[in-house]
Amino acid sequence: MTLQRPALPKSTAAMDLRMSGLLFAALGCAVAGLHSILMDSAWWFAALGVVFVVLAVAAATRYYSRRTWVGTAAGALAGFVVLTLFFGAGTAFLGIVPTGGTFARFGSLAQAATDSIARQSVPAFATVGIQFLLCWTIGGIAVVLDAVAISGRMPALTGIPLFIVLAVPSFVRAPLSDAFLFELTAVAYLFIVRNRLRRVQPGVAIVVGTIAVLGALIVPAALPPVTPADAAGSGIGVLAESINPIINLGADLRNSNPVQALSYTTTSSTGEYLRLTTLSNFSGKQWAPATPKLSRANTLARVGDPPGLTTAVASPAISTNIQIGATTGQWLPTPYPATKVTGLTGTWLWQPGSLAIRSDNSSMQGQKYSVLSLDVEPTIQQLQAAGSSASDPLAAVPKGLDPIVAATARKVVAGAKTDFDKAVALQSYFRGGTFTYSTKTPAAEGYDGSGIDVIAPFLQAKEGYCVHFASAMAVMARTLGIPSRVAVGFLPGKPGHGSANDNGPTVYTVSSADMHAWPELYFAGVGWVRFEPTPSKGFEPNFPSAPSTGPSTGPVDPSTVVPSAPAVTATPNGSKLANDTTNKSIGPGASQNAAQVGWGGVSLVVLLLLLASPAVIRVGIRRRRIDRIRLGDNPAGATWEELRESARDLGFPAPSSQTPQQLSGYLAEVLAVSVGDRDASLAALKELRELVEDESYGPPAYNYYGERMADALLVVLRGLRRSASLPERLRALLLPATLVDRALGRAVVRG
Amino acid sequence: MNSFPAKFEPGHAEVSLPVAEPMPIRQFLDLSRKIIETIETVIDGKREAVETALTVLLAEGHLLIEDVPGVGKTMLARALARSVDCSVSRIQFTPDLLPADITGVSVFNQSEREFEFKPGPVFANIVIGDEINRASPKTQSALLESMEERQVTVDGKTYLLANPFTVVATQNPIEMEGTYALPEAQRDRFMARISMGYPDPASEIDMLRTRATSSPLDALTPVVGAAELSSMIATARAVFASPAVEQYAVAIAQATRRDSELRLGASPRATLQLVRAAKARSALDGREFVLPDDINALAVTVLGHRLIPSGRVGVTVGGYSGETIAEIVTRIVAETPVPLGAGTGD
Repeated sequence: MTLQRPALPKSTAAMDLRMSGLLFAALGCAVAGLHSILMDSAWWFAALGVVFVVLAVAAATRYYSRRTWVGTAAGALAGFVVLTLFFGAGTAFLGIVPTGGTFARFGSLAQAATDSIARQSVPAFATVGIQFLLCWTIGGIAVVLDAVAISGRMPALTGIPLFIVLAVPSFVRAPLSDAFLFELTAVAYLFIVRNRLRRVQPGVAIVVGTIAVLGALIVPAALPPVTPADAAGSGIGVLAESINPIINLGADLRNSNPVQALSYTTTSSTGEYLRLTTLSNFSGKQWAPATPKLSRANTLARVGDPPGLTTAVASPAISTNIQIGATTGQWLPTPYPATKVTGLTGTWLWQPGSLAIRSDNSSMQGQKYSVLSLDVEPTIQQLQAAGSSASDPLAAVPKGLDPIVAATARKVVAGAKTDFDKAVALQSYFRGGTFTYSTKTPAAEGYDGSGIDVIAPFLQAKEGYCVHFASAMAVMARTLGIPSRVAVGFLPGKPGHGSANDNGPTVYTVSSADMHAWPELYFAGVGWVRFEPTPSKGFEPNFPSAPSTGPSTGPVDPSTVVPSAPAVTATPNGSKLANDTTNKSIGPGASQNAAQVGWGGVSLVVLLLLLASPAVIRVGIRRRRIDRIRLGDNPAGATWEELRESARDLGFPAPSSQTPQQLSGYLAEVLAVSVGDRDASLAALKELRELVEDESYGPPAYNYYGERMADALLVVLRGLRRSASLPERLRALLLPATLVDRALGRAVVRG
Repeated sequence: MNSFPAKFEPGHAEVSLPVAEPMPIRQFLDLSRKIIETIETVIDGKREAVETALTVLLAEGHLLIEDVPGVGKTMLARALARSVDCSVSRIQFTPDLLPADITGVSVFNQSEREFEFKPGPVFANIVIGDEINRASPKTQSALLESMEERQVTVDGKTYLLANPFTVVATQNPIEMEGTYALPEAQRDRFMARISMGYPDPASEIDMLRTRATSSPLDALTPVVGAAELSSMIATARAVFASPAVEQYAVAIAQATRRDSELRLGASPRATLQLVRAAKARSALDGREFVLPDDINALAVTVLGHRLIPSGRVGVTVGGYSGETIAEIVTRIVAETPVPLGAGTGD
């Protein structure tokens, strides 16, 4: 019976301190993974500051208090104080004691955070609100980690919150997760669990398994609005990039599973090009729309006049009713030039110059609105008569442009007299047949995306997609002295039901595959005129006039007033798309705000954690006791207490007034009718009882029974669980009776 | 049986070895099993009472057997005494019994011209006091004093009693007339009180068969010598009682003092005797240390007769207060947490 007492592990305090350090490192790495969705790094330092305070205060408190949960509580309190100091100092008493104003401020910060999350694209600017939300969440996770790993002695469970943090970028978009930081975190995690890997803790395994299974079952069910889009792998990611829709436009077009972006009806005889915004600054690697601060006066009740348009040009008003689906973004798709937009929620303002409509606090998602716009129909004569605008700043050739672009342009327009003729010549050059539409070649050849550097390779390869065609034509127009810009938006889409036999309006459905870019060229007296250089996409502008405009009208085919067949079949799954879109409900309730989904997810996680917390606490208590038993710290007391409480959790009466013999006698009866390895359980129970009696009541001896007790205890507990009914086991796991007793301050003596 | 020696000689009482060594637990178990078997040849189906009696004997306590007439109280006492080879005396308590009839008297020896102490029946290893509640309080207290002090003082001279020394007293709770119920203080001197209870039908039939012709008591032969008995007592005394167990005993005793149903709780002597009895019980169980179960099992027996219920349950007929006290003690035991571990409890 007498065993050599094994060397005790390093002191618990040192282990706890080491654990705090590891938690800090792991969480630091995991939070750093957010760099792919947040700009700069100030947020990282802020979050880590909170984490540091939480863990350090917890560790320091633990140094003085034997009860580890006191440390966690102190850490949580310190974290709260720091958050108050960071974000609500002005409202708090002495800067750290929160008042009602502090909570109001927190509320508005959280509101601001959700707003800016919904509004911004990735990588987003970490506004104060976002930093607040981040610090708050990460601080909370630090508390959870501390509680789980140190107070609860279940370091393995730290993987769950760490993984949640690491997975955040993937929620936004899969490629955003950072493999390197993931690995760093994983290494830190392995260090965290290293000491524990030896021992199998069925309780922990059950809890982890339960959480994983519950999560897997509940999370997808609870997040319907976002998951279908994500699950289909389509994601109108381009539009989520609301600051710059042109980024990844190619990726969106290459997506084999387009989803419906919006639908509309219009009084126009043809479908409408719906413009999101325009890009006019062609310098730099990546083109971006200008986002000047919007004037509050620029309301949509009266959108500013289109630049350059004179009354001489025929421009009948048309009305378009647009219903946006699950697409998000801060730019509003409208026909150009819009004069009035009604029915929007949120503050939407128009931008001078481009007349693009933008919101700083709302998203287009789910919006349903009416646009009054002008159908500008300049005659060819009017266009040809337009004077040169070469002095316009938007006619400036971007610096660093490959000379071959200008040379090509000159060659193409040779012979054309007016700016308009040159423009038409450029358009014909691209649509004439020598160029091929391809979304794949640019990516394969390395000139994907926008920017002046891609134009020369594109002209060389003669393969590309709308961005290339649009930017090439726009830049080439500038080399010819014609002001130009690139518009980003949607093709008119596919006319839907009702067009053939119904009298109802034609419903156009626009999918993510209809994302498009096209050049707009400026002609004095007419303004900005759309061109369509992309072969097989959309339709060329129709300029009514004398039919004999010479070679320039050659490519213009008035019959292409509806989107050509290739516009739809260009995508591999065009027909499937048609089915999908017609079946899809586009009711206003069908879509949800991304922020709401985010909060739903957060509250779901919180709910799951809450649900799982009794189990986690109970398992933590058991693990601490088993640690104590193995350490030889009053092993008999810990063993018997654990046996008693586990039995009670499982619904067996096990009052503390029972002697070991009485309880083991009773439990032996229970185990005798159990399934599984009954003899082993009974033998373990007997051994356990004898060891406990010897340890508790025997003469003092330097016997070490810790390991034997712990092993026997685990066998007995397994046997007991097997003898309990399934509902009892579930209840024991999710709502342990002993925890309830503890919470209510009940001492169970009589059972 | 009143077989006291004709003449007291110094050292007479020291019939056993002054210092007894504990014996191996195996031998102890063997002997105790023999004693129990021997007693059981005369007392059928009363295993528990027999074991308690032996426990009290080995714990150096005194036993009070309380029950209606004719259930074998005296038989148990005598069988216990007969199975051990040591001096036994029996006192039949009557109202006219005098203290000197118990302790002994100094008589003037004419030939030697000096007072000579004639020891009473109390000078024996096992003293059977039959119907102890029939004697006057004065006489009762003479016995009870010697029980506690283990000595007798006559004419200013103190005489030590035999070692081991155990009083097995019986009393009849039914008859009230002409009896003097034992006062609380005196009941407290008994380590345990048991009641025999009626035998079950099978045992009763058995008894009819075996006792039809002769008293089986006469056939009893001692199985344990006085020296061995002392050694057994030493063995029981050497049993280890851990701090946790002591804490448990104290917790139960304290609870009886606090309980609203009880007017008088257990005395510290009761706690002491509870642990001592538990040690003997552990030894009889073959253990070298006391378990809470020992305390648990002995609580009613050891504490029951010392407690005075408050109010309604206090029908004391000769100190007999029935089931209710047992119920109270059982409840108290069931409410006292069992300490575990190195005396630190939970």
